[in-house]
Amino acid sequence: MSNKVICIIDDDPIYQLLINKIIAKSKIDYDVVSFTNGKEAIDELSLTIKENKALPEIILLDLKMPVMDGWDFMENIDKILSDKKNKTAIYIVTSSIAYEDKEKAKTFPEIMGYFSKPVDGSQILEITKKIRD
Amino acid sequence: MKKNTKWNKLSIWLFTRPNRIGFIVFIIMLILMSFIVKLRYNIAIESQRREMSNIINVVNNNFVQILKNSYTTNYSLALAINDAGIPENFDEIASQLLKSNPNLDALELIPNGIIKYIYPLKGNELALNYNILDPKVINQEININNSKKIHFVGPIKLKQGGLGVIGRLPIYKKNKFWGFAAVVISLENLFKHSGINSIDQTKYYFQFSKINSNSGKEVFYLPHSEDFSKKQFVTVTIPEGNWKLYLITRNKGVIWSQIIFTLTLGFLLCLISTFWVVSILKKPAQLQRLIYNQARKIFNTETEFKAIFDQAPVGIVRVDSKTGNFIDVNKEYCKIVGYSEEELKKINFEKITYPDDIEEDLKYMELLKNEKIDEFSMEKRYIHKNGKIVWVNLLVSNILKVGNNPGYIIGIIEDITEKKRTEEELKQSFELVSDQNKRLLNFSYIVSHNLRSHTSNIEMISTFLETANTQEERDEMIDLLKKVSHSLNETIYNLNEVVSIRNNINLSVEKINIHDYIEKTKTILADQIHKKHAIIHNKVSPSIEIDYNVAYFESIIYNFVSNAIRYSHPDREPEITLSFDEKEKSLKISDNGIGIDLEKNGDKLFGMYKTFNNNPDSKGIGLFITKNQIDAMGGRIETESKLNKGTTFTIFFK
Repeated sequence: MSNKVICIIDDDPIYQLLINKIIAKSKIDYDVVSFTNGKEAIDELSLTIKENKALPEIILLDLKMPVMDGWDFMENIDKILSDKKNKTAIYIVTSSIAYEDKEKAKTFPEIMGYFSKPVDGSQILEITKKIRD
Repeated sequence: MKKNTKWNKLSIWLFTRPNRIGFIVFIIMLILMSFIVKLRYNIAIESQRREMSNIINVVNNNFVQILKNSYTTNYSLALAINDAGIPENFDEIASQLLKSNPNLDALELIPNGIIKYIYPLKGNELALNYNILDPKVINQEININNSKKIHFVGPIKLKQGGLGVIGRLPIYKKNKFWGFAAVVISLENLFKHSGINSIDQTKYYFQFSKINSNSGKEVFYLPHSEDFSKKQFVTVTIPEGNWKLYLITRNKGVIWSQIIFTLTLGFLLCLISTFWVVSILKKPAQLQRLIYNQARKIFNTETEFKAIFDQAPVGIVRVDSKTGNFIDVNKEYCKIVGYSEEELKKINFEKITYPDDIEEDLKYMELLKNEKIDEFSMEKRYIHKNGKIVWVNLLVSNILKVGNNPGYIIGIIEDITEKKRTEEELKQSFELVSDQNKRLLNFSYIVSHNLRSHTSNIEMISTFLETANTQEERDEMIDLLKKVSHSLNETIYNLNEVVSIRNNINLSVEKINIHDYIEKTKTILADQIHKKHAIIHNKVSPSIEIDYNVAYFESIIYNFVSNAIRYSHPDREPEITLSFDEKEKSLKISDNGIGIDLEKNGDKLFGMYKTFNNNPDSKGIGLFITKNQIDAMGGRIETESKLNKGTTFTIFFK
């Protein structure tokens, strides 16, 4: 069986690069899959379900993205995962520090946590540790 | 009408002066009464006169009877004279004659004028041998001698004493004058037998006179010396003795005593009727006064209400509920709508009501008329005479039904134009503030997200730099830092641009030829147009000009056209059409590009850094700036779009 997958959905290429480096440095056995917006991620995940492959264990989701933003992604993933036993933990990682966004995040039971950028290795470890438990 | 008022005045005059009317009635009654009394008096006089004439006739008859008796007695006495001229059995005959005629006092035979025979002689001795023809004594007898008829003399003073009358009958024997036969009647006896003494002495009395044939003077023989010519009297003449007999009323009071009752009764009647009239008239007079007072009160109240109506600080109208015509309007109402009272009375309220408000008003009026509601209030608009709109608060109360009249509606109108204006201003400023607040929120969001995304990257990079073990790694991070600093710079520049648009209040405005500027944009974008084989139709008439800020207009056109080219559909060559609607003052920009899902993204379309595709050129700032520029010029944008079909933006200029 391959390594566990951590999925990153964010339109900022610099962030993508940096998060990859953080994951690499934190020495955890995760593969990183990246998408630049929600639409891309949905399309890929739908395909994964269709092929009956394993879904990523962790999704780090940005809110502000072109084409399909984080909220739209949440609505769509809900539909996809409705008939599956959900083992995917979704975390919001966004530059927004708006109170409204934090509150809105709480309305989705799939969302396990909310992080404001910047994130560092310790936070990633915290997330993976939780999943393992 | 005029006559009516005259009558009315007269009746008022009459009813308000009962005392005068009473006085007039009293006078009229008095005149009537005096007439009746006068009539009564005349009747009394007449009946008295009749009574008196009856009495005097009786007395007269008695007189005549006595005189006749005297004649027959004389005649019988003459028969006693024989042919020789000597009286035979004078005493015997005379005694018999006296017996049968007790009214006679004495009988005489007077041969040749000398009294020779007297019966009874006793008491009459003095007259014996008295020559009655002695001219010294009686001169009036002379011509009587020639008459063969009996004639009366006297009353004269008798030789034998006392007053009396003498009836003498000349006696002729063989056609030769012999002498006289005479009867002597004392006045006392005459009066006694004629009945003079037997009348009611309290009421009347007699007078007896003879006109002296020589002097023509009337000589009175009864002892009443007073002058009775002023008194009521009747008279008869006794031709035999040239006498006059008077019957005289003793006093006037007799008549008056008869009519005094009538007089008193009449006067009483006058008083009673006057009192009655006055008391009857006083009632209407009191009522009249009451009516007058009430009318005054009503008038005062009316004046007061009129003053309230006229000087009220709100408009008050009375409107015919059927026609909607004005019946009464007050000054304030005239002021509110700008029309004069005369002008308003010729029209109905619909004429000056703002057309959009008529329907609601009429709906309420209908409900009011059908008695479904008692009153209503609404805010409505009038069109002032000067054409301006006046906002009023209208309060209409229930229909007042007066008899069979259709009824009226009372409306109270308050001018709330100023209030409305303030309200409107408040609303506008609220909208402005809300809008600004929204923009501020948006802006803060932009700042928080767009700036924070860079700063968080910088923070992460700096962490990596701290922990970097190799130079290679460090160089990589510095390179990344440069990239971040570049995008941060760009973001700040864009934000600055937006802030400057928002702050730009006094924008310079020029006349802009839309057609020319589209052509200019085409030149600028020539490279991209060429690359994508785009076709741009400039359908705006070259004559159209608008007032706009040049820089903004260039930016707006550039952004829309370049967007249309950028988001062209991969299956077809881009075709962009620009046209101007002169009526709406709007510019339409249509493309056949990929379109936008407006349902999903409509609200984010003009937000900052909103892109809906992964086109590497899309920075999500173009439409945001465009929108801000159009807003700043007071216009707006409408968007129509269908996915995979194309998009049409319509820019409305102010």
